Amino acid sequence: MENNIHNKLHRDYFGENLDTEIYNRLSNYKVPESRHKKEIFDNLLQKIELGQKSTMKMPTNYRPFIFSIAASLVVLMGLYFLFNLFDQQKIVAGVGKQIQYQLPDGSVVYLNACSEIKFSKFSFVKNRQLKLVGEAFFDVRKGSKFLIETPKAKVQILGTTLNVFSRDEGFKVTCHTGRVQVTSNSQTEIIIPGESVEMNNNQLEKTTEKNIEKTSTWRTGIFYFDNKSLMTIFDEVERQFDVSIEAPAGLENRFFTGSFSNKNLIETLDIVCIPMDLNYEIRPGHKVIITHKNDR
Amino acid sequence: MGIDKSEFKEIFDTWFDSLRNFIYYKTGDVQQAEDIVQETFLKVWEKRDTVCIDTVRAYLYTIANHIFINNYQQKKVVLKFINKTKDNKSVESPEFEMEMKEFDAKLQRALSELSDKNREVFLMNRIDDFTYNDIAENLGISVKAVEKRMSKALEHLRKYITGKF
Repeated sequence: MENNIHNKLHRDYFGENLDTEIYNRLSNYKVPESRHKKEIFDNLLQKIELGQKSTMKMPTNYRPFIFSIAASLVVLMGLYFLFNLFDQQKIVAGVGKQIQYQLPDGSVVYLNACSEIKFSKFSFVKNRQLKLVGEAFFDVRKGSKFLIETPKAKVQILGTTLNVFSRDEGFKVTCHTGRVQVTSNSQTEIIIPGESVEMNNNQLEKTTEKNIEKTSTWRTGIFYFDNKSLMTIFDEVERQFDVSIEAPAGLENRFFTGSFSNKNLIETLDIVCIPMDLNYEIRPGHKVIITHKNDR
Repeated sequence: MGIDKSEFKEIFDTWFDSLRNFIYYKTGDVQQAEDIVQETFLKVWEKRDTVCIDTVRAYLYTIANHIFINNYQQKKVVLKFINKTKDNKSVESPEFEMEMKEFDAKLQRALSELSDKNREVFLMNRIDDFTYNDIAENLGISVKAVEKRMSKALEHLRKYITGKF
């Protein structure tokens, strides 16, 4: 019998024999103890009696914690996007259109053709600030500072009416009532009623308007020009009548003073072309070709 | 909900040994295991109003495990079991005695080399005689997971022992 056991141990330990051997040994194993169970329980009761608390650190639930942070971040980002989506208000006046729009604070904007404003719906009343591209006339309610940002300059107003023109061809702010502050490239000009600020070569220049009302007559459909380049005038015609004008070179050096209405294209072209000695031809597809009279 | 003092004693008597063994399998340190289990029961007493006697076992294992993880540095585990039955020296030869000792040493080293997860499951089954269902309930894992860990542990032991023999 002794030999049997002996042989078993000398065998190569593979497969079931090994497993059985492991299990046999394990079933004979006992975890050692340093203190008796009874002793530990008595010690425990003593601690309880003395009102001792466990000093062991317990885990904060890291996983749910991290998940909740991640979840709230996602929700916040979602809200932010939704907020932006609904908050950003954009008002656009297309080609040949004019729009009158009342801002949340009660101020009124008249948008000329091909112009747009952008502002925050929710914070506008508190923080009157908007972005403008194009031309607009503002009738600003008295109140806190009113800021118009254009690509070229910032216009700051304290309850007034004014006209802002900010297009590729130029930049001009005309003050009708109240006071207006225009800032561009750290240059600041303050204008009072009857004055304008124009931008020439990136510099702001103050001018006095001879006829203040005429700068914003576009609101009633009348376009008034005081010694303006023909190119500027044709640009306005393009915007008001939704046409594209093909004009010969050199017109930017000829100047026109006068006014036209946006009701009738032929009348308008007559008003501009006849005194300037130009011919025009209206072609299908919203096209107008301008030629010099002597070219014919 | 809630337990009184006699129920507390009952829970202690029922679970103390297997809890201590459970921590010992993780640490290889008897004193540490006993300290941790004592703290575990202190915690249970503190929470006695919210403890339910039917679900207390998983709770005990969780607390013991958390106390271990959060308060003790993980060291290399060196297990040293003792034999239940004193070897009857009159029956066995000295050579057999030697071989047994060698095998035990090898086995215990192999056990120490196991990953904590596999080791605790394997030993709970082989030493504490817990069924797979019991272990799953204690640790809050599935029976499938217990099966997986058991077979992994055994495979590892086989490799270790045959490789070194």
